[in-house]
Amino acid sequence: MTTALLLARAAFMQTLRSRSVIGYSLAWAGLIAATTLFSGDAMNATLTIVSFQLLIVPLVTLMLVSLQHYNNREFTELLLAQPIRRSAYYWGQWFGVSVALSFMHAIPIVGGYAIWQKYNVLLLCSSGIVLTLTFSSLAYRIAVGQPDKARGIGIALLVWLYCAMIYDAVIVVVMALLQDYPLENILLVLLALNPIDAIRVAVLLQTDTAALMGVTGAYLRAFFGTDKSLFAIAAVVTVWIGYPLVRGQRIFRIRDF
Amino acid sequence: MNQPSLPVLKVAGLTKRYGKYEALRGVDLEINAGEIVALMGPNGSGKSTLIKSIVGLVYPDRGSIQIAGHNARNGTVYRRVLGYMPQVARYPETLTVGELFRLLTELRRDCTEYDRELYDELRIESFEHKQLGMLSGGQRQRVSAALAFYFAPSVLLLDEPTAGLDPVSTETIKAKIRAEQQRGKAFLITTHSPQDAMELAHRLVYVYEGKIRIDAPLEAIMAVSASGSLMPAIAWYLQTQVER
Repeated sequence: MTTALLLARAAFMQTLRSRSVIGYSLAWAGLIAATTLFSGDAMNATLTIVSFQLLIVPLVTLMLVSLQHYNNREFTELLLAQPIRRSAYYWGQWFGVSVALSFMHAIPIVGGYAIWQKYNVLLLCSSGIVLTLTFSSLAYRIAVGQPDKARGIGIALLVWLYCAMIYDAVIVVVMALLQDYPLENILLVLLALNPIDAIRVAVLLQTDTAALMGVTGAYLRAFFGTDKSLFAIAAVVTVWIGYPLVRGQRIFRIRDF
Repeated sequence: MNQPSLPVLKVAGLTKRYGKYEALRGVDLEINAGEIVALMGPNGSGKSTLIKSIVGLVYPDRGSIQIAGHNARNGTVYRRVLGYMPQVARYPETLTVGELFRLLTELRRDCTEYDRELYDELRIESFEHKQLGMLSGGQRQRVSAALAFYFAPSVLLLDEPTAGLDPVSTETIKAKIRAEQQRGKAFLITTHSPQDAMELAHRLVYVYEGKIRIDAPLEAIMAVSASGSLMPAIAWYLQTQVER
């Protein structure tokens, strides 16, 4: 097994056994159970769970990944004092933590589906995993670049606030201010500036719920059509996952401990 | 004590800044095979920065570090001969002691011979199945000490190795350090304990405000002490022999 995979396995086990992560998985299972039992049909259940997912997964992932990075400081030092490359540690750690969080998020979805078979399990699993990967990448980048734990957690919270709340307000303001102008191109750019919105639109494009898609989603579908829109969103999300990781690696390679 | 011979660690002109704060100011240091050097100094004097620079955890702004003939700036190979015991032994709470040793053994494929002496003498096996988060501070320190020696390194950097340890474990680690020194291993040990320095070291290096103020054989330093205590001797040295 390569060094990075060995480190990923250790990070995976460490994350899987974390009380906070187990608590997250149990709370998520409870939410899925409640939503499924109180939702009228499969579509309704799927959309309600997606709404929770878009709000909860980014916040929990940002917090858990950055906290684990800060709490592992001495362990990181011990490992980096061995003859292993920093990049192996960096990628192994991110991969292990992200896979473990994705796993703990997907298990309640699959479990709930096995019991009630009332929602689109593939859609929920894939959106949850993509959200987890996106925000674990952002959290990792924040934690690697900010040695101070309190500041790092603060920045992670601000990122969540921006993606989950401030962004929507910005869209409304832009729409109100520029209502007399053609907004298609601006809104398409704005869609790329928020991974939560991009993933939300991708999920809704695969369901028959155009009314819930929001302004950016509606413009996107009108502009590209469903297939091309999904492709464009996949590209945007890939950049959201990849860029922070690559940037973080450059910082990690030269940072002091 | 055996007299030291070949240099295995050479630090030259090491400088490290954190913004306006200069943590290391042109530090020069050589340690020979079979030599134990006590690194002392007040908190914030640059001891840990020096050790971390040698290990590769801190990148110095200027200067060079040679370890067993390897330039520390070229790759990670030089760390094969290094054993490092950090000051704070806080490892992942959910991993067991056994898993930590297994992980490091799997990562250290370069190593074929393991030094289990300290692992056995500190009775690590008795809590091998415990999660690291369940260990006391002393047990974690014992794990950390056993790990530093586990891959049979020839240069050991120990940051406060006996801090927070019970007397039996402290004496076990000191005996191990002496035994390994006899086998030709080199040690750089940071300590706040004059007793540890006097018991173990051949040479004392005193760092203050990022500069080495004293680098002398312990016998020479002790020769000026009327009371037989180290701290008054260091104070006398700093006041009379060192340009401030």
